[in-house]
Amino acid sequence: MLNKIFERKGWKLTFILLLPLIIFIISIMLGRYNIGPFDVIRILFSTGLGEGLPDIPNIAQQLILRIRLPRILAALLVGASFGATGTAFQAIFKNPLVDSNILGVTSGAGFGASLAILLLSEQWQIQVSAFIFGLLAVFLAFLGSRLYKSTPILVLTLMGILIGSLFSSLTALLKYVADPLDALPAITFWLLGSLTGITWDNIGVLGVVTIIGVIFFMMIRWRLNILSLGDSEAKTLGINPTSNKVIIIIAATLMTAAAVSVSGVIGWVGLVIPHAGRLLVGPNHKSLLPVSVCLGAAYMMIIDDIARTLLPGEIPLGVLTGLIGVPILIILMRRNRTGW
Amino acid sequence: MNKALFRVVFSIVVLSMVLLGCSPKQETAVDVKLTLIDQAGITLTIPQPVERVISTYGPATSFIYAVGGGDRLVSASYLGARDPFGAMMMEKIDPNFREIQGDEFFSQEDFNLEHAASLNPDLIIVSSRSVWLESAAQLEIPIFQVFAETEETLKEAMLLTGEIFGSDAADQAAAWVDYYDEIVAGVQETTDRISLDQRVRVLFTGTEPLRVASGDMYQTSIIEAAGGISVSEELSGYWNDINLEQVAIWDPDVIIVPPYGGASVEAITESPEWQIIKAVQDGHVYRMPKLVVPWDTPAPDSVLGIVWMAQLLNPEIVDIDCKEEAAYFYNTFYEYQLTDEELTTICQFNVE
Repeated sequence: MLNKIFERKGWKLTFILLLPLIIFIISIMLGRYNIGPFDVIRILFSTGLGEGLPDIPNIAQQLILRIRLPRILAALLVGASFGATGTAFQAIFKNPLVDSNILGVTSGAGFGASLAILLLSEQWQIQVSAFIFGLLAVFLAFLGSRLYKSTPILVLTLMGILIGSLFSSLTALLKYVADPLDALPAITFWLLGSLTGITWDNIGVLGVVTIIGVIFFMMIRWRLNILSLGDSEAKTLGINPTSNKVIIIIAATLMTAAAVSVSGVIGWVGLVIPHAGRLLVGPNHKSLLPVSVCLGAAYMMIIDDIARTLLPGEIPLGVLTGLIGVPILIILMRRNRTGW
Repeated sequence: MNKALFRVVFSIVVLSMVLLGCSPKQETAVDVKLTLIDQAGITLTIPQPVERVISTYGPATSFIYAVGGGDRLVSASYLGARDPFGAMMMEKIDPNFREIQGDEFFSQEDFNLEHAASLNPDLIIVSSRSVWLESAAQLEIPIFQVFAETEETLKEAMLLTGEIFGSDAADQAAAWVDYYDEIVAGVQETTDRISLDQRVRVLFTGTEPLRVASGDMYQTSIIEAAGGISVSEELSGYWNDINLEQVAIWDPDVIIVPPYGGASVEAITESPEWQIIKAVQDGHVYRMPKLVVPWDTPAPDSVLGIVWMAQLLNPEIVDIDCKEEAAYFYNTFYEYQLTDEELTTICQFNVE
């Protein structure tokens, strides 16, 4: 009996862990430009950029290698990042209603991007500005919480919300002064999230930060179990809750800022993917963290597939994440009634 | 005693105010008024002649200049006059431009009521999309709403603007409509012979390379009037965000970027990813010209957009010259004589 359950759980876990790979392979074959699945695989395995396969039009080869591949990888990385950071934040804040934006990183990044759209024009400048202001927002929240002596995590949460609101207001101000014919639609589009126009140049930093970040969270995931019990329990078990939380917040903030600076503001994923993970494998972070990473990655790839293939025009990711995610989550909740 | 004195003084003051208020006003000899229906379908009465006009909508300002009413503007929002070149040219066209320029007070989003009232206008010309129409109505000054987004509504807007500014202006507006029709008919006569599958396929991008004009937009009408096909015709609404894969499917022969919002030819031609697109490989990426008003917007100048594009897309068969038409157009409708140098600069296909 026990054996049977273990087997079922193991099968489920294996499937979830393989899910990003499966979705990745399906995604690379999907696109508005029609390229046969076998040709796609041949292009992927051909060496170098183009030239390799004379029977496939060069444009198809370039599309796969320079447009689809970096974009799908970006979706994978962004999703993985949101999955990991959302799970970690829900653990250390002991609150299932938070994600990595609770300290204002996304609001800060949104402001940074809007400012860059208004004053500068290059894609990389927008990305860098978003990244810097994302970090700045969390740093300010930290600084603010230092003004207060006791209950640091609660004060930090409050400060994060305050700083987040501050940056949201500043973004609203920028939208108000932005030229409705050029800057305003660009800001609005950025604030809704999109991966259109992603190239290899854009995903270098994202890739490095996300991979290191995910490895870091995988290594410390047992600590998340302890931290989620509460500060006194963590101390009893020989873990300094404050320093651990600070390190986790720094790591998660870097990851989120890197992700958001590429994808634009995408809400919802970091909040809900950990819940989906808990419904599937339970609250133990030993399996919950990798499952959230994989679910997040697979989910973002699916969302982006829809965004880029459904219509000739791009659909903003922020619109789709909730629209598709909420029904899925409700179905999951109906099926498994697991505790949080 | 004091009270009685106060009463006397008070009565005198009140009486004098009433008497002064009743004194006969200076009235115009004949109280002429024009009644017309604006483009939002609202009937309004406008005193004639209009002398002090506020235009809160850039394209409408260009209609006013084109019919010869520029000297009656007291404050206006301008289209295409924010960049240094546009501002310089606008100042040449109207030396009073800097004083009239009122972009900080009036736009589709903003309407500074106090400032508007202080200018004592007799007409306010607005976009029907302005968000502040109800509050502006409190001034009880006639508001004329413009909605010129297509060829037909643009002609209608020009004719109505002419009517508002008097008989000379009405003649000028009619002359513009005739000129527009003449140009379109002339181009059409020659391009009609081209079968649909032979026509040049054009992608009109926006302020960013991956933002393109929809089939509902005026840019599409210009491409069609010039004898081309807009590849993004199937899209609807306003500017659409797309991905490069979609551009590859459309595979345009020519890509045109607009002359505003930081859009640049280089953003496309220097991008490694865009090299897969035929138009980029062939070097067929161009920037729509402008003097002040961009030639791709629904404004009088757009007739030159058709001329320029027809010459670009069908140079072999279309007997039309951008420089010649631009010289005629700006001379006739803006009373501005372009120098040869200016003509060469604006009519060229490749702008550095």
